[in-house]
Amino acid sequence: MSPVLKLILESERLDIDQMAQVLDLSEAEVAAEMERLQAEHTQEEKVRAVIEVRISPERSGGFHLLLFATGKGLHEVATFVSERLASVQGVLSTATHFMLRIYKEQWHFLLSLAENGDKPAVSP
Amino acid sequence: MSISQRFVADHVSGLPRSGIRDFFSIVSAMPRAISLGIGEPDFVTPWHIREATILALKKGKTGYTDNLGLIRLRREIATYVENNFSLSYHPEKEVLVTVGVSEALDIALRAVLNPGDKVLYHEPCYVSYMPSIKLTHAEPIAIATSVEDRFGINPDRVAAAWEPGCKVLILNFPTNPTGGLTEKVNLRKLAKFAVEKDLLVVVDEIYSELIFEGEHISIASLQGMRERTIFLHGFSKAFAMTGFRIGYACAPQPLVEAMMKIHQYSMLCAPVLSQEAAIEALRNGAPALAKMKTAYRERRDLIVRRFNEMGLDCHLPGGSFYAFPSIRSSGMSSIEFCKGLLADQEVAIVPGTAFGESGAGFARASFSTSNERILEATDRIERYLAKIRP
Repeated sequence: MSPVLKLILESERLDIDQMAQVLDLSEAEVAAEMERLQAEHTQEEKVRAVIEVRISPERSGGFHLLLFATGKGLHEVATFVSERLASVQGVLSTATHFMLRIYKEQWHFLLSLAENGDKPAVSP
Repeated sequence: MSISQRFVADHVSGLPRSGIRDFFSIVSAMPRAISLGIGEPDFVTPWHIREATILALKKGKTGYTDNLGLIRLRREIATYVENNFSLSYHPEKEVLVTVGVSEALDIALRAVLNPGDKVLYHEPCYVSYMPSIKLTHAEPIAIATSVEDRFGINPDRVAAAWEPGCKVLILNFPTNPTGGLTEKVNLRKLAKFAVEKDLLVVVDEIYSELIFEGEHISIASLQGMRERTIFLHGFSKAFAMTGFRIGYACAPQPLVEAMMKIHQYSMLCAPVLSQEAAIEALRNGAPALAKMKTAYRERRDLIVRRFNEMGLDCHLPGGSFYAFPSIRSSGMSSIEFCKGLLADQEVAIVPGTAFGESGAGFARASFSTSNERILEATDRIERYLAKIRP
């Protein structure tokens, strides 16, 4: 992976000159790499969805199968549901929920590092 | 002397306060200071390990365990140590789960030292070695390491420091605070010396995963050493689990038995939830560890480059997450430099003397923090140097 892209993904808030220092490159090199990345659109959108599926023969419950799908965008997931999933024999209906952002897992907020303020500032 | 002060045991009264604690008191009053004084990973424990801990709690795993630790964990430890250190220990008899390496070190020393025995250890070193030795009424003998050896241990200096009555040699590579390593050729010489002088080696391997060049070798794996080595390791640094307080000791059965006697009466067992977390770390922690290690390596290169650019000579630490630049060019002592830097630029680094006299002229700067903070902190250090240099 491009080292510049890696830094961006690690989401540190660095300017181009700071990135250049971190990566031991010139500012021009970093700027050129960023332009290249933008041109390539390498930061693809990723969408995750949970799909409830009702099937035939019918069983009890609101839905019968639960699918987890990942796609490059809303359109790709929607196409998958309408063309690949709904067309399967025995599928009665689907309900698709798109995951926008994960705030909690197992009822716990996923804290960022900045919020972990109990650590001592100096330790052995 | 107050009435209550008189009750404190002489050998405890005689212990110096940790230099780190003194410094911590100053820094904690400065909320905006950038700290490179942190001796623990800045990463949060990987999520899968936290999740395993939550699951264990939900399942009601809240009781005592076997004094030695959960057998499931001891089996995982034995496998991990075999795969990573080429050392074979019996999980039922030769592995003891402890409350961090700190407890393991304490009970290892208490289990083997009689009053008046002498203990060799290399310096600058982790702050607890000398006090732990003194608390057993034994005598510490420090062996200085130097920047010329990139703070690896020089076997000739060990031989020169040895005197009749020496029973134990403590080793820790990579070293906190210097990041020093010792080459295999020197480890071999040390092993030979330990056999010749009938020394027991207590080896603290807590930073062994965080080594940036080559392969880590434990002295315990060298010929003739397994029977005379207590191998200490833990989860705090590699798996970012400092608050779990979980570590372990591996050694031949008579030594583990002796340590167990103290452990069972003082600790009973390590916390069960931390033991469950440790199982998950050993089973599935390798990818997260690799990611953290890559980040540490990049930060190391950055901070070392910045120190050298501003004229603070800094060797390339072979492991750990500490840089140990020389501050001699400032013309100040370690403590003057660090206090001045904190007051003038609000950047905290730890004076080298907090880790022993041979740390004089140096300071420890942890790169267990983001690139952004490293850049800001080193810029401020550079500004401070511009002010104080003639």
